[in-house]
Amino acid sequence: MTYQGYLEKYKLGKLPFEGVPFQYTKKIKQVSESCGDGLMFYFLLEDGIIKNIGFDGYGCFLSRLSASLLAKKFTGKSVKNLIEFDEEKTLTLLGFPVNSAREQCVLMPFKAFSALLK
Amino acid sequence: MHKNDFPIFKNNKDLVYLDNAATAQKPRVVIDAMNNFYTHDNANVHRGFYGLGEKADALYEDARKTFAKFINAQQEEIVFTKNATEGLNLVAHAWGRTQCKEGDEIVVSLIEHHSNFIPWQLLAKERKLTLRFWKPDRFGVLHIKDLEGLIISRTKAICITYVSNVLGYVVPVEKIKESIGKKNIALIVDAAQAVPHIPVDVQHLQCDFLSFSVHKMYGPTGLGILYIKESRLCEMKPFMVGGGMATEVGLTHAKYLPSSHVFEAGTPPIAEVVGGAEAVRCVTRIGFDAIQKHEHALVEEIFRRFETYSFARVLSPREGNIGVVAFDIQGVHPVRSREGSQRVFASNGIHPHDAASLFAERGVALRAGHHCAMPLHTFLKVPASLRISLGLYNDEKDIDAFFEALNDIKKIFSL
Repeated sequence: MTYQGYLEKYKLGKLPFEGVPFQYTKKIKQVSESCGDGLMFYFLLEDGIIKNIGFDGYGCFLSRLSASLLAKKFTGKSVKNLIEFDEEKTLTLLGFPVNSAREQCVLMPFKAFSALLK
Repeated sequence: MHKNDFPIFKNNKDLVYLDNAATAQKPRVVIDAMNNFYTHDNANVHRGFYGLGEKADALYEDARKTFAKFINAQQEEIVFTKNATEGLNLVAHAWGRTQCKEGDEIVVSLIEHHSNFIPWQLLAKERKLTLRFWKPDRFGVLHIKDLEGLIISRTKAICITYVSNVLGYVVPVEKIKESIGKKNIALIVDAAQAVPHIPVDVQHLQCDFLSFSVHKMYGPTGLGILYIKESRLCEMKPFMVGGGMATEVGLTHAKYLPSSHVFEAGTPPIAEVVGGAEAVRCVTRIGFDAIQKHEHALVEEIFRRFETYSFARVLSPREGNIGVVAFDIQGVHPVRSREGSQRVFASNGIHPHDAASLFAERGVALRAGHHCAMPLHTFLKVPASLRISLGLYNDEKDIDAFFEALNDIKKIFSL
């Protein structure tokens, strides 16, 4: 789907996985270095498996969409799956090109996910 | 001047450039002046005893005169810097660190660009000074009456922008000296957003320091102007040291030039200075009366047309606006706050970055974000905003293109 396609689909509504889940075991705050926006990520971790993910906060559509797509991809997966995942794959996951000025928006949620490995 | 005088518009036919507060486009004559310098007159300044060196010296010092006349200063009071930010940092280092002692106070407004905010914040931390904040009203507008209570016997400086880079209104800087009275308080002015739009006169403002970037007034990047009032020069120590600013260098000591040239260590941006002087001549030739008339008509049109868009919240004041309009796009209609007077909106609006991308896809270049004015955005409780900023080449077609793009955004989000 294109950027505009996603915007037209979700308009001003919440994206999948947007919101604070009932249960979580880890909370990670991620702030964009370029604009100061920040999202809070909530992970429910059990035996190294990401059982549930949620996020909220103030971010642009691109950062929220990236967060939502990452959440969809990694829900139910082992944290170890993140080892092979990188920035380039995050940009590919989005499915449409973004200009360099906005790559930071897309990559901000990835940083929260990769922090799970620390 | 017309878009035809600016090569960028020939090379980007459909460009709708509304980000002039970030940087303005360059007229052919400025580009030619720099090209001509490199192809005919290039040499370093203040060093060459040969013909080219003398020519470069003459062009460089003539440009200093041009800039001095432009802001009604003396030639010796003009320092060439890299940009407005460097000029303000220079003042904080070279003057602030010499003159401010523990317990002293500095007044800084909340509408400042970070370049006239962080240097003072840093200085205050280092020297244990107290920062006093000149707060605007709830719409972001500063009033002189709110400054008066902040000035005490230990106030050393008042740091203020001449024109808000977000809201586009002119601060009555010329009235500040009345509040200062006879106290020895330095008035430090950031004129970066003023110089492209209004005449700047340091005598009228009665300021001690004034800094601006030349690239926002149709000149090249890499050049700033810092005005230092002659009487303040003896209160300063060198900022950067090196070539061109020392009169005597021994193994354990150095003596420095007693003039403002002491702040131009190293090879300066000579071609930029030559191009910058040409930009001053351009702006002066057109005249600020004509520039203001043209930009005022366009900005009035923008405000008038915004009135019909209930989902767009205009943050800039209409009165006295010089051509910078900040706004954001809301998802819901305005509601009354508990206070009853200020309009507040639900928070699920369109993020300025997303809106700016949609504008960009439609060929409209504008700015989104906090515009390096986070204290103001925090004060206004607006995380980020969109900003249109006009230049002398903008026309009604640009305004039409902007509102057409806004109509598209309205459709996409069913606003």
